[in-house]
Amino acid sequence: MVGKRTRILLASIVAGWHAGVIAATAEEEALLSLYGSEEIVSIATGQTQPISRAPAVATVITRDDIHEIGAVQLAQVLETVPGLHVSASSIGYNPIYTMRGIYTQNNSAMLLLVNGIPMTQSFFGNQGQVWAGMPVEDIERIEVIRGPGSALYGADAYAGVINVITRTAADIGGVEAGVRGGSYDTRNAWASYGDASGGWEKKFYVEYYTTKGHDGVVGADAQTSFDQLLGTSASLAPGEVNTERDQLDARLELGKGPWLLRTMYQDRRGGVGVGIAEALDPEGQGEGYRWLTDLTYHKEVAQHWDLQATASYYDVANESSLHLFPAGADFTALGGGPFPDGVYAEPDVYERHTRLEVSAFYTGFSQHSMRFGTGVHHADMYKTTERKNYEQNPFGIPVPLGGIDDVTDTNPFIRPHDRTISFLYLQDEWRFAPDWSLTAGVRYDNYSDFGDTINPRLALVWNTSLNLTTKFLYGRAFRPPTFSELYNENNPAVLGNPDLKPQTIDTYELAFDARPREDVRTSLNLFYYSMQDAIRFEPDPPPATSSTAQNSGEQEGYGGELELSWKAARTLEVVGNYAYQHSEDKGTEADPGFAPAHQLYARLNWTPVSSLSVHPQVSYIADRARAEGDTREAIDDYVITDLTLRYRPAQLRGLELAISGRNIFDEDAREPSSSSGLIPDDLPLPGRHYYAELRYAW
Amino acid sequence: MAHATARAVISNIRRTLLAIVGLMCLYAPLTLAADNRVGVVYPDIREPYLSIFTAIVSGVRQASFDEVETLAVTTETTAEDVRRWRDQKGLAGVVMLGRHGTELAQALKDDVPLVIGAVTLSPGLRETRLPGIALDPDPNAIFRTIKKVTPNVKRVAVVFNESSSGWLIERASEAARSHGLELIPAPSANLSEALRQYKTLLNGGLSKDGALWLLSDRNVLDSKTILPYILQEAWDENVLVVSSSVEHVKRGALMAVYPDNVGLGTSLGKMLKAQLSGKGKAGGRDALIMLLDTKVAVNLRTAKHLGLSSLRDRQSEIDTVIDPH
Repeated sequence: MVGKRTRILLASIVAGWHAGVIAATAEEEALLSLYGSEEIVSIATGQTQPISRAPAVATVITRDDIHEIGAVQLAQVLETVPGLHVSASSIGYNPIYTMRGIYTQNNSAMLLLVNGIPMTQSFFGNQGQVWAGMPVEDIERIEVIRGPGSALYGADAYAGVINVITRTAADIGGVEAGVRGGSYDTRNAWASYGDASGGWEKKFYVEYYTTKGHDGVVGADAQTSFDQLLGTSASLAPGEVNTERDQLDARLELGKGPWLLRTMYQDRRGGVGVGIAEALDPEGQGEGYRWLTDLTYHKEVAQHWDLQATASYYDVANESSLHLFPAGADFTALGGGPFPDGVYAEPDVYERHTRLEVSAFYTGFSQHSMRFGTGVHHADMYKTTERKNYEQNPFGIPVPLGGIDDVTDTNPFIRPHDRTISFLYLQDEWRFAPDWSLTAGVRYDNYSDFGDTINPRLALVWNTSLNLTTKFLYGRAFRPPTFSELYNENNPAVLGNPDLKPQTIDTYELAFDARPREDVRTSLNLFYYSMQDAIRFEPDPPPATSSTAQNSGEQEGYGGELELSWKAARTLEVVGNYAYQHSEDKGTEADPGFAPAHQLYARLNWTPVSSLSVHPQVSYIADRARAEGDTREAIDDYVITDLTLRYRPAQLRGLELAISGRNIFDEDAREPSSSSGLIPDDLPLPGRHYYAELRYAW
Repeated sequence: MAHATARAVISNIRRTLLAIVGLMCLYAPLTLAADNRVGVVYPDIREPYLSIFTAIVSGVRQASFDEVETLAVTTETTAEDVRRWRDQKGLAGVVMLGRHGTELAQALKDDVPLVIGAVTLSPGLRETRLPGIALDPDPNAIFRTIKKVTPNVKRVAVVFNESSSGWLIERASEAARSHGLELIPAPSANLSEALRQYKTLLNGGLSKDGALWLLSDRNVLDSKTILPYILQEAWDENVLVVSSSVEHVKRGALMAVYPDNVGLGTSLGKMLKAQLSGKGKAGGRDALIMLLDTKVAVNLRTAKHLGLSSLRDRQSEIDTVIDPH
């Protein structure tokens, strides 16, 4: 029985809350009548920068978008970008950014930058085998350029560029902290401090994320095939994938005037997904860290001259302990031997990247905006080590060494290598008529190992009418051969080739950006691309069982993306996109596989009252062909539905509570395993799961 | 004896003078401290709106007060609550921000030196006779911006409604003259008349050195129908459009002025300071002034379309560049 006093207290709390809401609404209404919209309030109060679009097909995802998506990890944000699908690798469930049909097992076709600095490792051309993504709490916005970006960004800006912009001291402007927890024993906590007063910019951020990982089950694996062939019963399948992860991220920034010093640390530990050899490995672990420190000087040094210089140092390590095949595997019948403790290896790779880049904007010529840049990058894979309990016979079959031996100097998978890249670029935007501008740019890169590459771009932008902009774009991009593709050795399966040259891609785009009504924004992009000299591992002549990297691939594709954003009412916004692509391997005249032909994404941002927002979203992935030679049936399409609710109580300013249900209809969604088909049922994605979140800003 | 009496009198006078000086010395810092201790009342509101008020508060602090206390209010907050807070903190005066702040100010105006701010002009607001600064930009701010950013403009046309904006046009005519501009007022009694006026102005009614100034007045500008028409015609006919709404800039107008909230806070602080020192207005019909602390937003796409390449040399005059496509 509720007492009278309690009832009065409850009534007064409710009345107070209600009155507060009404008051806030009346104040907001008055301010809205002057400013026009909340977006304009944010711009006018300097909380957000208006988005200035590059002459490219770009998507900008803001911090607000990230909250509406309910994303916890970067991959969840990127999945909403038209034309970009984040698939998963069987190794560590590392993300594979698949853009417009361009898929690579090692995720080397998209350039990922943090504040403009590449996160790339030269070993595989990706972010490292022990990376598994990054949390989003320190992200202010993400800019994704679809299509080539090498004319400005150089290497690896091949299928697209993802630039993650972290929060500045001014963006934080105080202290924020939060905690999150949910399914799969996921725990997450973060804190940020930012102060941009008194001429100094001071920022500190730390975030810790841990999860046991989802419980997706692989029904059969590579060892299952060996068991069937050899009469053994070693396979751990059916068994759960190991997506356990611990992530620690920290950033420290100090700025004064034109100087900004930033340092970032990422520490990663985690399971190996299915396993390095597509055999379940619940014990396998990857550990890695990356340090990135940069010093930037940015100033308008003279009239019309804006100068920026950045020196950076990136130190990254990947250490692994892997069971390629489980305890009980026995390859005696194939000329190998028995492995009562499993086939075990510890391959470690360490890299350092030192960069210096100077760029300048010059606007002194009438109707021209010019940008110049030059720099040097030393990529040094300074240490590689390996311990293992096997060697491979000429047919690639594991033979026991009798114990775990250090083979770093005798029989390593790769030895240390380095390369120096020097580059120069020039870009000019020429406004040759009131509604026309032509951007022409070219970048020259010299690699100490394979030589030169020149990558041009052209962008013709036509302000067709008040509400329509049309862009015609051409660009060439390159991906340099990775150290793995150049120098792999002692590996009967895949061998490096030091004679490789970079693979290139030419892309043509036609883009329309229209605002048919004040509340509607839409865009349509059409593209055609042609890849040359794509690096593939081609089988060597018999009797060898190995494959060697060759510039043998050619692929072309076309497609388009349609985007829509509709402010249906003051409290309701609809955002969505549809992407289509068709790609063909010129060698096989078949779909190269893996990437979805159709991709649809839609989200509602509904604010029934100012303190509550509701964000349902759906993502539809369809028509993923199998690669040539993979005889499995096509992988099933899937629809994943998420729902995020955010509550900001009017009476407790600064507090925010959120709950998010992911894959709420428990769709059995899967990403394709490799074309070997050794994991016949593909890679399961998480089923229905939840999290709850609490954050506070002082 | 007379000598002794004189000495005693002189001594008394000296003692009295010393006492007075002493008292003055004791009292002066107190008076000084009280005058330099003010408060800001602002609405308890969520972001992004809260940032408007935090910027104003930081501006008030820059008006060289020793201490600035703040109080976030809801509709539950009464004038008595504010009075009590003022007494507790020993505040010499208060800056009252927002709609509810203005309502409270009406109840407090006879007891507390105050100024109001961060409110939009409404017919009833001037009648309150409260001193302060509205959020609506003063025509002087508009014309100052036009002269700075687009110096080739000589004439500014404006469609207005006599009953709702007549007073503003009177003021604007003077302001235009003082900036070397000619104001061309186009009166209209209702929306359809306003549309006719816009049609005339946009289809040859404006000379090459003319600009169109859009008033944020629902009697002459409807955002769903008339605004899209104006922006389309202005694009087609290369007419320069100036507004006091950044939203209009986002949709294609060339430029707009919008509140510089830190500057507004400083101006409010100075206004309160003047009042406390007996130099400023404590009320009256002209005590509420329009905003002169403004920033400029420019639509870069429209600027390029209009061939305003000279904007490149005036980047320091522009606070926000919007490039919507």
